Amino acid sequence: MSAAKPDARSVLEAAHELGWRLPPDLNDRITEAIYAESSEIAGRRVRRRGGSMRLAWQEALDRILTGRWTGIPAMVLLLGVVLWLTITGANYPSGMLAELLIDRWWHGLREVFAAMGAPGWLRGIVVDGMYLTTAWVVSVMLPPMAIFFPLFTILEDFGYLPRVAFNLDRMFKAAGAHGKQALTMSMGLGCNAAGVVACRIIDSPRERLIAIVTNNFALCNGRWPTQMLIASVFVGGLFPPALGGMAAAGAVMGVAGLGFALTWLASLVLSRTVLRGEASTFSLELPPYRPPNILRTFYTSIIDRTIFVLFRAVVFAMPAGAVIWLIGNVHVGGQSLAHWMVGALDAPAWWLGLNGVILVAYVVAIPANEIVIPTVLMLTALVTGQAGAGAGVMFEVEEADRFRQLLDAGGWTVLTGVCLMIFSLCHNPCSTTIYTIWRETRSLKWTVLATLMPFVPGIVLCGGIAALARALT
Amino acid sequence: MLQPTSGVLVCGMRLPVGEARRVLVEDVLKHLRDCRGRGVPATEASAGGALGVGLDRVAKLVPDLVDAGLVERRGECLELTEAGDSYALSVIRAHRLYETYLANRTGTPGDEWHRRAEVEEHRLSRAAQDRLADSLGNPRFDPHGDPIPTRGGEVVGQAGRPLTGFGVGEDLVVTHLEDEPEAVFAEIARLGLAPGMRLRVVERGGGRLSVEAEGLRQEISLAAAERVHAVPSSVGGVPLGQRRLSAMGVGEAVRVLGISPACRGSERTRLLDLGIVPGSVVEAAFSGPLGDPTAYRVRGTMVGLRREQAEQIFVEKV
Repeated sequence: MSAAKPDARSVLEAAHELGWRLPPDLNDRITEAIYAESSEIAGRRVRRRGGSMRLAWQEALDRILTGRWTGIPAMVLLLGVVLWLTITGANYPSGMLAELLIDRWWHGLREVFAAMGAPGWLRGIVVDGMYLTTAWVVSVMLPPMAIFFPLFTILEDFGYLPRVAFNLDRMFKAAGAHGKQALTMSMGLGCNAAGVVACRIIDSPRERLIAIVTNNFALCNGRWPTQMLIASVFVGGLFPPALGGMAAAGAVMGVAGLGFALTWLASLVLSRTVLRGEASTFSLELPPYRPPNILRTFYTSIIDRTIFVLFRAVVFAMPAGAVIWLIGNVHVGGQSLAHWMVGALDAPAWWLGLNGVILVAYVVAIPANEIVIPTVLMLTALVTGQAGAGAGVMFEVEEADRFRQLLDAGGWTVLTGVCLMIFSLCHNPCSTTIYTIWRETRSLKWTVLATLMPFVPGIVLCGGIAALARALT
Repeated sequence: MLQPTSGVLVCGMRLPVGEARRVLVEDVLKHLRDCRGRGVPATEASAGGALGVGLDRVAKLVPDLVDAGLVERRGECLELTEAGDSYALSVIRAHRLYETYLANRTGTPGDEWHRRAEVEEHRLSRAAQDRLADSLGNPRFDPHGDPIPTRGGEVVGQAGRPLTGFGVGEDLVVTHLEDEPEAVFAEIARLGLAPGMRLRVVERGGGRLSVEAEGLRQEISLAAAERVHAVPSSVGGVPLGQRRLSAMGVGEAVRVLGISPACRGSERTRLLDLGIVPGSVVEAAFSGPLGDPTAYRVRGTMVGLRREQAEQIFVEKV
């Protein structure tokens, strides 16, 4: 550079020229220098105080929670305790809510509409359809969520979730999947749509797709209540009352475990076929355990999760309620639409150990899994003619016994219950999740695959169990 | 999204647009550039042979290329014009950028990079190339050690000569791996060689070369060694990697010497971010219930690493 004052262009050219001469490991050297510098500064200005008690405590805990023999059992036990607390704890408030929202307000609303002289169809759609479905969703879902989410958040806050990923990583690696899939899977335990969005934390496109497509096998909060309710009625019912809660929790855990097994298997199959490739690497920071901040836990779990999820459920429940009322009350050729649909689906459902009512409920409940149980109850009441308050009205169930009686009248057996639990795990994702998958992948192919793939194990398992049970009895 | 968006390479040439034809045009231009680089004359026949297409197809194409001002005919031989050279360079840029993307951002195995990039190079528009380069942090070299042409169309020469040309015992640094033919590259990929690796030839004979790469002794066929280029090491001395973090037992503390050049891209950045830099003391704290991964204590934090990653980290006893 001969000019006294080099112009911008020549500076850029010189920089460009020099750029090629930089060592290839420049990034490493810079990072190394930053660390050297910062540790030098820290060494001069920071004094460390003890902390060994805390370290010893952390280490003892890690030895149990990630130990060779104790890590996996501890994980199963923790999940079991959370589920058991949720199932046993949710019963009472659920009953209270049902009494308030259904027995009192619903009757009250009917009277108000009658007094206003509203036409019967309007009262049907608004009160017997929309309001009642929503009331059902709230009373069935709110209590388990208000218990399950804070407990789950406490575990998360405590620093346990990364340990789950750490414990399970080996299995995901064997399936050709990313270790972070354990984290997106546990997000899916809250909400599959959230789980699918969380898959963004996985850099590699191949492994991200695997995580997205298999996320539906993590039971979402819309399905936990279904699992818990059916398990307590059918599985818990097989045991004396003292053991019923535990047995039900065990059954739900079995389904959650099956979900994990299917996640693993589906990941393996995908990474051997359409998403072929090597497992990439995995590094995970294991944060120190810290006592959960209870207030924050309640805030995040109640506001961010419970209310948010409940809001979504309510938004979907209202139109679905109208649809349910309509298919129960619009008659074609002497039968209601619901009768026609149930009749048409009864035969295929029989092979799956289910019944037509359940399949119709799953069609109606595509927008949100939360409304499956209310829809099942309403349709069962309709089909069996047991309707307590007129055809096409979602049945009011004051006690678990009535619930059982209703289902018994609908021809339900333990087989139906078990198959429903499995089908609830293995069917299409809800429409929100499907839309989210499309938005995340921008690919029709992957969206369709993710939507239909869960049916494969669903049909195989339900069909197999039904055939086996019938062969044995 | 990291996935580069595909687009049609717009180059202002007036050729019929057909996709397959454009691909052939670009491949022919690349071949001409390759021949010039190697100092061998290029003809229709050499292009047809190298690309595995009929001579007649190339012969039919060439007059159009000449008309479009991309190629000049000098007697029997074909040569690139300036415009043709810049076009070829942009295809090469797309190829090398895409290989870098695959290596740094995806779990795609090394022996698939080239094949996938051969397809993608014809789909990346210049704008898409620039976006990809930006998202990758404007890398200078592709995973095989080849320089990536810059936006302005500059490209530096390559240092190094084939491994077979060095004597036993010389300390070398790998600069370049030839990614063709596929079968030979598969062997190189299997050996885990990568640009930047330090190695030395320890023995030769019997149609094979014995090399010590980052402290591991490996056998390499002459055909593969011919396609591994290296320069004498300026750092000199001790090969790294005789001890690797993966071999440490629980409770052992070691000092990090470096990360293998085979560990690239976001994976490498992540390890560096976690504090695994030369000089850090690392202690194996505990293994997971299934034996893998292992948790290491690094600079006051706990980090879980899979075995394959711990293998990439060279250490020495404290």
